[in-house]
Amino acid sequence: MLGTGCAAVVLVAFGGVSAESIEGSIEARPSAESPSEPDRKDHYWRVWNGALPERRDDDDHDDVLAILTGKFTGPPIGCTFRFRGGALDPSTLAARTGTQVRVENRDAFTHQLSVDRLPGFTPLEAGPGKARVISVPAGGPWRLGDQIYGHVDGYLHSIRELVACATVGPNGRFRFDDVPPGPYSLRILRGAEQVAVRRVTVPAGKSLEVDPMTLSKNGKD
Amino acid sequence: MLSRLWYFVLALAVGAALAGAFLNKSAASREAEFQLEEQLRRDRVEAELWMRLDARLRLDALASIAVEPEVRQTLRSSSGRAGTPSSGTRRRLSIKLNALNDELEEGRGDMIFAVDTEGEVVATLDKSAPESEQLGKMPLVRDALRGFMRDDVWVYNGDVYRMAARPVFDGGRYVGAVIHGMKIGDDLARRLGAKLPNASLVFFHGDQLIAAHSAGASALTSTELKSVLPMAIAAIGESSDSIEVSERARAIAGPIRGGAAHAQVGYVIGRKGSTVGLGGLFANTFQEDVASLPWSVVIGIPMLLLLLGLALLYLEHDKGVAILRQSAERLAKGEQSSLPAGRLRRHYRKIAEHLNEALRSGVGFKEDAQQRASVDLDHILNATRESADTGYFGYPAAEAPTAKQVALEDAPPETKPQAPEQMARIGKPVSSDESAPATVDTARPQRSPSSRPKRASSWPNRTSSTRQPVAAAIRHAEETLPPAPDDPPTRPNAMLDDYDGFDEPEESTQIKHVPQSLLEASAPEVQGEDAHYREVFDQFVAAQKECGAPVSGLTFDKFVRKLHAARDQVMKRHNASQVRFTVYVREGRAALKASPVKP
Repeated sequence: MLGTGCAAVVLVAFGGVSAESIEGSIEARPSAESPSEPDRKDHYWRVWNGALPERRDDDDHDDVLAILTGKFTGPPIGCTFRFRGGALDPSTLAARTGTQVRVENRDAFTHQLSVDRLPGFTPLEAGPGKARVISVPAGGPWRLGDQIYGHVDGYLHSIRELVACATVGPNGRFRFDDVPPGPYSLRILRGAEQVAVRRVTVPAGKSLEVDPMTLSKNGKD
Repeated sequence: MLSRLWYFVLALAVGAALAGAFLNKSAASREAEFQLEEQLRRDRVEAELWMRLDARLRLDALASIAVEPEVRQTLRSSSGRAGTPSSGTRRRLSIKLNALNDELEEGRGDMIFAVDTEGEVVATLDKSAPESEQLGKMPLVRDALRGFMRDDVWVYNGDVYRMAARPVFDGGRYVGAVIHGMKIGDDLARRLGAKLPNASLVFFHGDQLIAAHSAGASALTSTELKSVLPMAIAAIGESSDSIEVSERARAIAGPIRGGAAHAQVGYVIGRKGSTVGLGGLFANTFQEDVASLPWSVVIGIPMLLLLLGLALLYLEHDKGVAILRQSAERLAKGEQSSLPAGRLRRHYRKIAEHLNEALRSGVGFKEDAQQRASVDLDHILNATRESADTGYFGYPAAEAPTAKQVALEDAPPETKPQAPEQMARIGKPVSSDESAPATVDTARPQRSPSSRPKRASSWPNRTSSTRQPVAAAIRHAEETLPPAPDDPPTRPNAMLDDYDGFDEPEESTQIKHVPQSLLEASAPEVQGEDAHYREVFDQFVAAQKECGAPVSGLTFDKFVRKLHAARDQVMKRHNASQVRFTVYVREGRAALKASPVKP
């Protein structure tokens, strides 16, 4: 028993297997701007069905990514991205500077990921089940797109001390799992911007519940 | 001058007409090109309208699937918190979708998805579809799930589909959507091309053609349209102008209306323009246009101008030519003695004046003069007499027929005889010391032109200085003698004609007497020449008598003087050493013929 306890202490001290979770949520202020139609009209018909009223879109926060940054040398936790449903999921990506990020195609059809102005990256088709790997240098963010589907949009951030990534669900909640205890910065990325940041310390042996974060334009909480 | 001005005006008119025609051709070419571009724009509008209608028809046809109870119930069981239906339920729905799709006939889709409210694909036409497939983030599906009927174009695994989606609702709420897709292929291009007569059409995806339709052998081919795809793709985003395919062929490109336009999916419509040549200027002329022409002006003015030109031509040229022609005929008939220069204008007047002058001076053909070997004795004798007006033996020179008139024939110079003792060298020039006989001619005083009566004649007077005849005729009396057997008809003749004036005294003629000793000193040539002259004289007198002509006034001295003069002329003209005279009868008269003998 004692040995087990000692071993746990040692592991926590080295930032090893002891991992906790961070849960939180975001509160997005209602936007005064209504979703606008794209400039290019890409259809002949878009008419109401005449029977039921229009169904409002759920705010699925597909374009929001929560990340933790801090002193951590291990591989980024939970930073996996994919095509799903016909678009990037999520559309905001983050990768540690100098590493590679993998974008998997989980759709039944081919995507052709493009990264705007990222040297060394060539848009190539990736069929169902395939993945594209992006080497992420310092700089960014870079705009992501799809050579086949114009509606695909996203951003790739290069974060020097990236520790973990978490997607934000339709209800605005996010969760980091397997995070080593320690001090971190919790950042919320949306598109090309950082819309929220908060310093958090993950205690050992406990899950951290973060108060709801209100997203702002300038990134300050 | 006016006719020349008329030609100038005519040339200007023709030049202006040609310039107008070419300018009109250029304008017509531009107009044809403009019309071709306009036609292509109309084609694109027509294509857009057709595809819009086609999308609407597909949306409406999809209603039969969206209201199908099995579809609605299955989607309702899959939406929201109901969870994912079982694989068996999904397979049954796939079978149902296939059956419903077959009922669409022409609107039969190449792929159909039934998705729940989360965008999860519940069933497709493919029974072995993946268990978990999401389409919820595709704009078409998202709009359908929100309650909109919408169309789109997708690139799906390399193929391009015209998509349509309808929401599915059941029990007063949305339960999903039905997504329908038809692959773009040659059938679509053919159906659309049928609405665009004489136009070729291709659909492209990037640099690949995915559908093509050609209007025929005379229309653009899909290969030609494919060659302009890079320009077409560039033109889609920049402008709506047409692009040139070849010299008289253009094409216009349009993006496909849908998300696939992002993947460079579009279409190109091409047409060939009509050839506009000079003959093509009237290609677009209608009968009404022809009928509305002011024919009285179109025909009348050129006819008036034609008549004006003809009148000017007649006044300035044809009239003068006609007068000259008529005058020349009368002149030839002897009805008039000169050309009427006063009735002519400008150049024709000058021509007539020059001809009149030539007629007065008796100019003949130089070639004839050079070719003749015989001598116009009349001319020679007249020249010897140094009288411009009076011919030999009393005839006026102007009345003597010219060499041309008597149609003298050439006589080649005789070769020098091999027996000199039989040929008297009567033509040998006499030296100054022995020039007594020669001075007979030169010392002869000039006869007064009025000393002999002139014979009435229509011929103009000839001046001695310009005369070039080589033969002359001295017409004899009416009697006819047969020609001498040694008188070849091909030799030029010199006729001593009309001997009636011969007996007139040579009042002003003074002949220096040549001493007999001097004559003897010139022997033997002179003696031989004298014998020849005597012989010729005797023959001539005999011939005259035979012809019944008087010979009373004809003396040997006079005869010899004439022969000397003729001899000198012939020797000078033909560079001959001797001249032989022969007598013959021509047309009932005695005549002389002088033949030069070359050294």
